[in-house]
Amino acid sequence: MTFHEPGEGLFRALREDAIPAFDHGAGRARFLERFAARRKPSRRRWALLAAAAAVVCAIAIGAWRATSEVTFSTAAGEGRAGTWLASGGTTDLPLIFSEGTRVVMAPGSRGRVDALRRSGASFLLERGRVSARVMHRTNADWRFLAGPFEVRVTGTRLGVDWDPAQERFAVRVEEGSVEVRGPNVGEPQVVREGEQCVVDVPRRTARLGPSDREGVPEADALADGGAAPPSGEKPEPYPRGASTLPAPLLAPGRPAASGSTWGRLEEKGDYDGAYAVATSVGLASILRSSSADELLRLAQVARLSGHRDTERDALVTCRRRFPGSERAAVAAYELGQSSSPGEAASWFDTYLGEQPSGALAREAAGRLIESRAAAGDDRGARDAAARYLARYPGGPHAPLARRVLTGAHE
Amino acid sequence: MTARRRQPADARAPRPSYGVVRALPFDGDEAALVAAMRGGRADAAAAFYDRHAPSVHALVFRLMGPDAEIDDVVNDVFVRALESMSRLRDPGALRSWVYGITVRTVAIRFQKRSRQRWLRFMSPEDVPEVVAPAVSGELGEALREVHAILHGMDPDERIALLLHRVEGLSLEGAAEAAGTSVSTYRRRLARGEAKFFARAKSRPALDSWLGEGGS
Repeated sequence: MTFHEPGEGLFRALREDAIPAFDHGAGRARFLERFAARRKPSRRRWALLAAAAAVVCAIAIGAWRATSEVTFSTAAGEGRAGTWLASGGTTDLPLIFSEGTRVVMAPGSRGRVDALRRSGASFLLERGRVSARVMHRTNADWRFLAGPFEVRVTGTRLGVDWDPAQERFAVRVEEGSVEVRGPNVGEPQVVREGEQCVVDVPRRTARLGPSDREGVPEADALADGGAAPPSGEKPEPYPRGASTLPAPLLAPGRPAASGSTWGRLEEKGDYDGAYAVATSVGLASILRSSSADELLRLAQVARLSGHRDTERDALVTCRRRFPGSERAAVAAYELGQSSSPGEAASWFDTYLGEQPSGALAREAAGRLIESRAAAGDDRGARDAAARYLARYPGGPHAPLARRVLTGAHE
Repeated sequence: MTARRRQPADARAPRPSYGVVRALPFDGDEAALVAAMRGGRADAAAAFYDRHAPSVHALVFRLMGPDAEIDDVVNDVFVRALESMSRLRDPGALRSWVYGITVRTVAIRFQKRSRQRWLRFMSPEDVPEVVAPAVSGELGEALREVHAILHGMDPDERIALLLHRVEGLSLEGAAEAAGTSVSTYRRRLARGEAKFFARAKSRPALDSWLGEGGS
């Protein structure tokens, strides 16, 4: 029996597509020239080359430090600004920056390094928790963005929590001080060493007070040169009681879906296993009977196990079964994240229409500019850019919005 | 040995037949070829290029599609191979080593383009010139649509898709060529396939190709 995968004929046509002519002779000549130029240098030449290389390296390192932008790496290799990052269900994700800063995403967190600059970087926390030890340098400029909040840092140790579902934000400062901008905190609110600021957006409350525990354990562990401690042994950076601090949306033990086998596997970060169990139970049944939260989690499981069609089914089902809910709007946002630019724009627009002040509104507004521009809708992109700047003049997409409005991106 | 020395121009003619020395093509296996190149033998370098350039060029074409920079990328592949030849641990695996360098060189070129596109926010001049495939008719139209979709995809996902579905590599082989873990590669492949088919469904010219096995 021959198994035919969808589109096989198309890929076969690509495979058999005629290879265009190639100037073999010219390429060969270039290669041989290069080869001939690599003659073995004499010992004296080696010495001269080594001395010259040392001088050049010293100059280059000095110049590089002065002018190059910060870079970062994860366990998977060099990181790129704009790439979405997700820690496992039970494991940390440490980010190591070239100038010495350490940022650790706690289990179940999602975010991205939004921008890299010479003076620092911006980290966008979509959900969950990060802890950081920011190296103090002259003119250091680090920003942590979480929903409508922005934390500006010049050198400190801190932790940031953001739960978009509950719209609860917290920042805790262990060293130095930070400035927080966002709803209910004043413009800007300075949080100093030993203090924490907790904001509950729906209740319109902000509490600034002494920090109730010491240390930001994840970042400390890395700063000392060691690996992050096993998450099972790690103390929580924030107390769980008293409901003053947000519980990360993806933290283990949250009620949604935890009763199901696939939900438990998802909590452990075993997305392949969770998906396999979900399919054995019956995706149709899960889609039919799950809560909105469970559907969003199923979408995440499908995405992280590489089943984008199922992710889409779960998100579309969430919207169909729970129309008008905040979760349906989140599903629209997630659909935008995984769609082509033209379609993405309509999903981000949908989110903004349904949740104009929602936790993801600023990010959706920015992504709307990106997707319209990428889809070639210049007029729509300008319109989105103007609305973004009117509402978020200091937001992470503000530079892009200005470029779009001035036509500098064209 | 004197016969090997280049003669002054005025001494070349008349040339006695017994004074002509022609370099025979390098005839060793891959390991011998690597050893000879490391020893600086130009005939081995020429043989290296002759043996591998056609397959490198074909692979670059399949990964990049019609593209004005194909020859430039092929040149980059051989420059990288030359620079890292001293680090090749298993000279007998020269072919797969060159394959991996080719995949990574294409990936680097895509990433470079992405960065430039971001810096200038996708200005039209950043988009590489796309040369229309020579094939005409329905097949040519389908291939043009496919290349257009591929050009709009994330570079890593595009390469993951092509290595598996077009090059026919196993997940393990493709992951090795792409320099990633199998799980990372599998995720890229899944995303690449999902995006590719989602976009292909919106293109009428590909309707008849998207069924089971295509047409």
